[in-house]
Amino acid sequence: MINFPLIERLIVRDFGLYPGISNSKVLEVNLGSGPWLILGVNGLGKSTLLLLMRYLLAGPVKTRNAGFAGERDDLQAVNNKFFAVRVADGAQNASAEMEVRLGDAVLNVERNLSNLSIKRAIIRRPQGSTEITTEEDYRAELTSATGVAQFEDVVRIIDNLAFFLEARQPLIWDGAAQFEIFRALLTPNLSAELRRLEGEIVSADSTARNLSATLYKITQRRDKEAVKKETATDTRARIAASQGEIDALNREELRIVEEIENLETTRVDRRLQVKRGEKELDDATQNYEKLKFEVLRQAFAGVKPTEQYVFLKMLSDRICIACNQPAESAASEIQKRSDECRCVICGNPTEYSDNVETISDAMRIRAADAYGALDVKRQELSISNASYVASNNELFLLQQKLSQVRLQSEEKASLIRRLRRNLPTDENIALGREEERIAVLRREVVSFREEREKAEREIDELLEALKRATEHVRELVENAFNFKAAPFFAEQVRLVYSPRTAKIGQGGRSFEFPAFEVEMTSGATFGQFIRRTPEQVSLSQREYLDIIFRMTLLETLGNTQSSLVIDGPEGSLDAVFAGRAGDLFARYAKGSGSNILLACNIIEGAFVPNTLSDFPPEVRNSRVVNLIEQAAPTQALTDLRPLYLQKVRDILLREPDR
Amino acid sequence: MTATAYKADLRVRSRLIQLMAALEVAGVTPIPNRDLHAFAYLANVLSPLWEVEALEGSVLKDRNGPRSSALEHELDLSIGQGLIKIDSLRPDPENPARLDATYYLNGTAARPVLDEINSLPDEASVASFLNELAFAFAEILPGKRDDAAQQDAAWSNPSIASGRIIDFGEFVEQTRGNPTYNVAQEFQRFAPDGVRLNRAEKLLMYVRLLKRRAHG
Repeated sequence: MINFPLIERLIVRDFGLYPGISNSKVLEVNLGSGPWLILGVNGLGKSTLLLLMRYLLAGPVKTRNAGFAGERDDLQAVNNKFFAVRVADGAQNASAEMEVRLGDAVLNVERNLSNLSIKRAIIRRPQGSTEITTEEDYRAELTSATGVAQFEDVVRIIDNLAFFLEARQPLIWDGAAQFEIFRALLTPNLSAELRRLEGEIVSADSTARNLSATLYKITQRRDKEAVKKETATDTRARIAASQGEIDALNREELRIVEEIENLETTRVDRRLQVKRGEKELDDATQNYEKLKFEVLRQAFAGVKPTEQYVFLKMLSDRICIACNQPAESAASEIQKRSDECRCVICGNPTEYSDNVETISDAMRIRAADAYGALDVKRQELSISNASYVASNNELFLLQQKLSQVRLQSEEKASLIRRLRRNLPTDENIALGREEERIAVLRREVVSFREEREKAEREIDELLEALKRATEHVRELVENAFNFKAAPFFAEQVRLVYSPRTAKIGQGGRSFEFPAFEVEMTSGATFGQFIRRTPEQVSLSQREYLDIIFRMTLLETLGNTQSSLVIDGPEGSLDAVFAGRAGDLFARYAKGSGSNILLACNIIEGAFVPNTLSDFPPEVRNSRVVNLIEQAAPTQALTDLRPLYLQKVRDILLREPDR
Repeated sequence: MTATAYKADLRVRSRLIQLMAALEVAGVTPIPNRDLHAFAYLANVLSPLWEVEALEGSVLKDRNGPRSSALEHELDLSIGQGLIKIDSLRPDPENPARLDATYYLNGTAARPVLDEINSLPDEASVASFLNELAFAFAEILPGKRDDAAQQDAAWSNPSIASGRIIDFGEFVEQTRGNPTYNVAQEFQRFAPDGVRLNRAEKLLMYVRLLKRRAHG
């Protein structure tokens, strides 16, 4: 298990942006468990304070964007003067210190804000303390205390899980980022090897492709040269023309393949919609049949089960299953006989016809409702089926087109081979020398592809281990997410483990990578709808799905308590959801010892009161870092300070929405 | 919405009659609806073992077990035509929103149809496969048969969540992408030296594995 960072204390000294209370030149924040708020107006440095915490912990580096990369370094330096340029004195004497718990280790790090270098760092473990003097040692100690194998993974944990800042990378919407996080958290000992093999595959694949491109150019040049020598016949001109056509066909083939891949995703989604539609229709039919059976139990007295079933199907589906034709009038007649307590078979009055009370009105209403639901499901399934059939047809046409293009390309290649055989012998010898060069290059291409395939075989085993580890925690993660998401969203939301298939290089094999995705109901579509991209949800849904996913991973995959730091959680919310978000943060970390730090504007409404709803109004102030009192004032603050202070007091005293 | 007739599918109906006939021979009828769907599902996932074409190559993973809408429609039509009879019809004790029916083959009506189907060479192979499967299926206790289907390797694949599709032969190759087939083939690795398991033995071993898991 991983030890996620739990931030316990922050002290900023001599930094002009935070002069502190009564100009003490010290801003100190001690964080216990539960929710904490950093409140301020625009420009007071809320986001900067969170960034400062992030850079204190990770140092002036970030990881490259998620995705398969070659053998280059994953760590990238960031501007270490970020804080220096924010103040007039270049932060010459400014420093910041942070205390962070990582399992049973406590790390204390102080950095100079002029260049983010380490001023002092110490890590205390039960077995003793270690002074850290260099950035290299600091990274090694932090990596070891976190329980991962490489510092890059620590930075990923910080940026993809613990800190949800302004310039955040999405996690739930990014399969590649999820792979890197699961690789770090679930198979920490294999993480570096997985990354190395990934780099090898990408590099070998890229080299093979570059050589192929060179090969292509040389082949073209050879053909052009051959054409230049041509005087009498048009053979070489035809070779060159055919080569050009092959080139165009290859481009067309790539375009169609890409289109097919996109359509495949749509088709898979639509197939799921159809299968779910069928299941829902089946459930609705069964439900209605069951109610009908109850309603008609007496009417069917003495009728054999098979015949009963035939009548039931006629009544529920309005189809005669004996001849498989619509049977609306027969069904209505049976229904009428049943309603009038006559024999459903012959229509004669029955012995129980006096007792019309045997079928309750409530039962009739339930049956009518169930029939209405059944009808809706039929219509939905019909629409889903039409979409699925359309995708299948579209795909079929594209596949036909692809076959045609490939066939044409093959024919052109065959034509070129035939034409070359007709060239004069001496020119064939000259071309033969060029062919030798081409053959050497081809061997090189094959060699790099073999290198890629070897790395692919090795990575396959490691990915299998990661897959098993993810499947082991799958249900835990899904359930925890669903439990948190249910009270927040108005829609039905479900996290689903859905490994994605991707190639590591542009060529080569496809592999399965662990990933989760979200299903959500929608007003525009029926049933659960898979949301694969952030564009498929609203801004607030996008943010809060990601926040809840991070909360879930921190809670389920960590060893101990942790911190979650969020910038601007109130920005995308309306009045109702502000209260729900407050509830979400109030519930998070309750009783676990973890904490959550939220930087937000001074906003009215339920967000702040609901976030601090577990604390009586008189102590809520102690859960707030009020930058109005501790940060260098903006012009707006200078002019309106009493008003802002009053607003903060009012917000903290306001009753939470229930 | 005006009712339209079911889209009749003779391919599905003939397989249904074969399924019912095999169950009849193995003495598993009258069979409850759930168990019939479980049997049909196992026939689908195990069909590559016999090089028989599966009726369907995918199924929705549902908490209530495997279920095929196409098969259900043809079941209705076969009942309407008198090929299949209902032995009992009552509210499902396990699910109050459903009816529980048990079915058996109407031998008199179905025999000529079945003879026609089995006179085709490929369908004769289907019949022998289904007979082997039905006899193995009969070994599972009646109350555990639908549980056994949910213990199947393709069904219980942890990388497929409930509510998603298990594809064992629709968009994937019947042999490569079918965990059930792969597990059944693996039995050869555990056979003593010199012993070559035939497909019937692999099938029996596989269904017994499901039985052991379902019986607990």
